Amino acid sequence: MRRLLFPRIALLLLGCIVASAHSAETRGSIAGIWFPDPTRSERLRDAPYTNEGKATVDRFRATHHPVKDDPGAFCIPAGMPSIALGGADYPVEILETANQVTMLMELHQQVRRIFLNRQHPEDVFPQRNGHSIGRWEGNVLVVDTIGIRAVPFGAVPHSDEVHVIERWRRIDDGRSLVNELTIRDPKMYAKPVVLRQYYKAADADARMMEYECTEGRWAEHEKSLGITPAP
Amino acid sequence: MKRRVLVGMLSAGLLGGIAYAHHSPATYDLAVTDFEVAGKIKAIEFRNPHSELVLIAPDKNGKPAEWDVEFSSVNLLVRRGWKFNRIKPGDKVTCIGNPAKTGEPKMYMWAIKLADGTVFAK
Repeated sequence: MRRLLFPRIALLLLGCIVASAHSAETRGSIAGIWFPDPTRSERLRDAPYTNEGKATVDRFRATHHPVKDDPGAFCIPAGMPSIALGGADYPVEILETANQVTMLMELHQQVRRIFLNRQHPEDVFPQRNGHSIGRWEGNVLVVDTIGIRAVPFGAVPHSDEVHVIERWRRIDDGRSLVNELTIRDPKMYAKPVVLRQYYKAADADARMMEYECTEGRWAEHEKSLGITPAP
Repeated sequence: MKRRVLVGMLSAGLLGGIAYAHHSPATYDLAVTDFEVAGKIKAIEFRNPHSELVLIAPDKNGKPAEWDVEFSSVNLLVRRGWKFNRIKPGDKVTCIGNPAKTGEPKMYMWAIKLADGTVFAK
């Protein structure tokens, strides 16, 4: 009996090792620091606006100067899905833990949390980046996001009915990432909008930085109070 | 030659569709990338979403003026290798970039030349 026990335990352990190796093989990884690659990425052109969508965007543009009234200059981020389309020259750091993929976007110090193998709650309070759930399909991370607050500016102006599906995967032997976004928003767009955003792997010595954005606004406030900042 | 390379880099950056996260330089003349103003720095702030400096230099009529010089975010400048401790109030510098469309004493700066000839650019 005892002689049989050892080989059985050994077999069991071997099985666990093989199983974990197998799951590691079938689950990809997009972890690391990545820089947006504007040379390959796609942008929303000839947007298939609905009448309501066009009216929303036109109203914003008619009432806001493109430079003086740029929300970004007031440190207001556009949120999802614009955050996943561009980000100028600012990197994103992607961290993977057992139940979550976390995206730390340097621009505006935004964070996206993608909850793995979970469902959306029944009630989602709309926020800028919405509520994201994800699952691995082989080496592709599929992310489903709802509960996004309506924003009439940014790369993809949208209503609070917007639903975004992303498919993230490594390409170019792991040196690049591509995220294919399918954006459905029946209020704003007459048909789904599909856009691809590419990223390049950062150099090994690259590091993320903080992005404090409101210092200028605070300095203006102090100036309005007649306070001169110390040199 | 040095100048040509620099201007070439600026043009390439602009034509390549660099995304200006916040600071679309739409009020500047993007067709002119080698506009230069030489003067003395009165004040400088490196910050996000964009940096600013005040340069004492003649305006287009030759009268002394305070130029409002706007440039990239502190994060992007760090990655481009700009050394902030080498650009201080009182320093004589040349600012290079896009002039204002209106001819006002303001510009968007893509490169700065220090008194010793060092150039920080994109």
